[in-house]
Amino acid sequence: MSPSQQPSSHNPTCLIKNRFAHRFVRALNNLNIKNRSPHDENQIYRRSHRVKIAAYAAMASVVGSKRAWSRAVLWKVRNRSRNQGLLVSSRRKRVDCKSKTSNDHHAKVSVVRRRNPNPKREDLDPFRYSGQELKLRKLVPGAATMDSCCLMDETADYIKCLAAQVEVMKTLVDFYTTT
Amino acid sequence: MASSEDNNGREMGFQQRGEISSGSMFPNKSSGGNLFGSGWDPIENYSGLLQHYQSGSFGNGGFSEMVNPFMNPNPECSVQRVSESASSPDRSDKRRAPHSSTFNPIKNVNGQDEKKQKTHSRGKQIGKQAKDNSDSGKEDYIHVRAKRGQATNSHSLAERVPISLFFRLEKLRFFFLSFLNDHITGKAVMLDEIINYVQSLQQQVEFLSMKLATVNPELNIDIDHILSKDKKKKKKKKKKKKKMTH
Repeated sequence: MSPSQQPSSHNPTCLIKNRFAHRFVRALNNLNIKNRSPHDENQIYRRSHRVKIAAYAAMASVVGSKRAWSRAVLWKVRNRSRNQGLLVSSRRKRVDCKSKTSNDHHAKVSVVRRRNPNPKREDLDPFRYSGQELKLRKLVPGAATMDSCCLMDETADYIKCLAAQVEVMKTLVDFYTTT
Repeated sequence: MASSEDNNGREMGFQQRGEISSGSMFPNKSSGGNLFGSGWDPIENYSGLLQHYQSGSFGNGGFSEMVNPFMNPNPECSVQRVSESASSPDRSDKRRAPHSSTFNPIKNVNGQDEKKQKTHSRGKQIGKQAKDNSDSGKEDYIHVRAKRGQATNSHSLAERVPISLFFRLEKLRFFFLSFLNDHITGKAVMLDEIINYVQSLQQQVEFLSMKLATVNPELNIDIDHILSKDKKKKKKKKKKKKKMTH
């Protein structure tokens, strides 16, 4: 009842939701400034994809680097942007100079994705990498090379944050559809 | 209100369970009321989506047998469990007045209590030894309480409800592990539920992002306005909860 009550004492997910809402809306603003009303289906699809990535990135940045899944998400996002930037630059260079230059080659090489340093080793531990746990590892980002306890830990946190994210997004959608 | 009934059922389940569960599991019983009232929409949507998953996700018999080398092969047990649980998608998702057997998340009560007691006793006990104390109590609990028809009915409900509780509270990992280690056949089903829940949440995110992309070309977005609306909604809900508890 008192206005001095802090949300953290009540509910840490409240904090997460607020922070996520802030960052997500900021990201949406940025997206909207760049691309105005999309007409094409393709454009809408691309836009929704970007919105989705923005949502996941916002959530991961709220959590920070405490959790493996958030680190994995942020890593993917940054790699993706890096790769896309390089691809774009390589395309431009191809357009400019018809012959293959050293820069072009360099750009090509750096676009290659890094291999996973810890391969799954399915032969060593078949129990872990089969059945439902495998599915779970695929679903939760960054959970491919973890032991079962950490996996459960990460999924619990991931679900908590995902649920908060979904709730915030729902309120946003309601807000935009009503106003 | 369905939520208050659920709370009562849960509390009954607590008192009659082992020491560990009631004592340590839910430190804030009062906060249990918040969980349902706070617009736990993902669960409600998940209930709608769950029906789609029920049919596809029950190939668990093999997994549980693989996991449990000490178990005398009871393929009938697991197969019957699978078939019974597979028949549950017809049931409605409405939360009925909870039977005391419904709040039995890992027990997977499908009327095969005797066989389960056998597997339970022979099953691998990976986890904490404290579970042994509760096991005997829980076996009695299963034997007394489970009713056949109602159990299959509440399969999805019973496992859906406690998942939401577990993931709301802070001591997530402990309870997660405790439940997983306790009942081996339950682990597979629990994992399935978790996987389905995560998938449903991710699909919801995708759907909502699609909606946001189409609905939202507006430029002047007032963050504070949105957040104040959120806060107002939450404050209203909190006030309602406080009135209800008082």
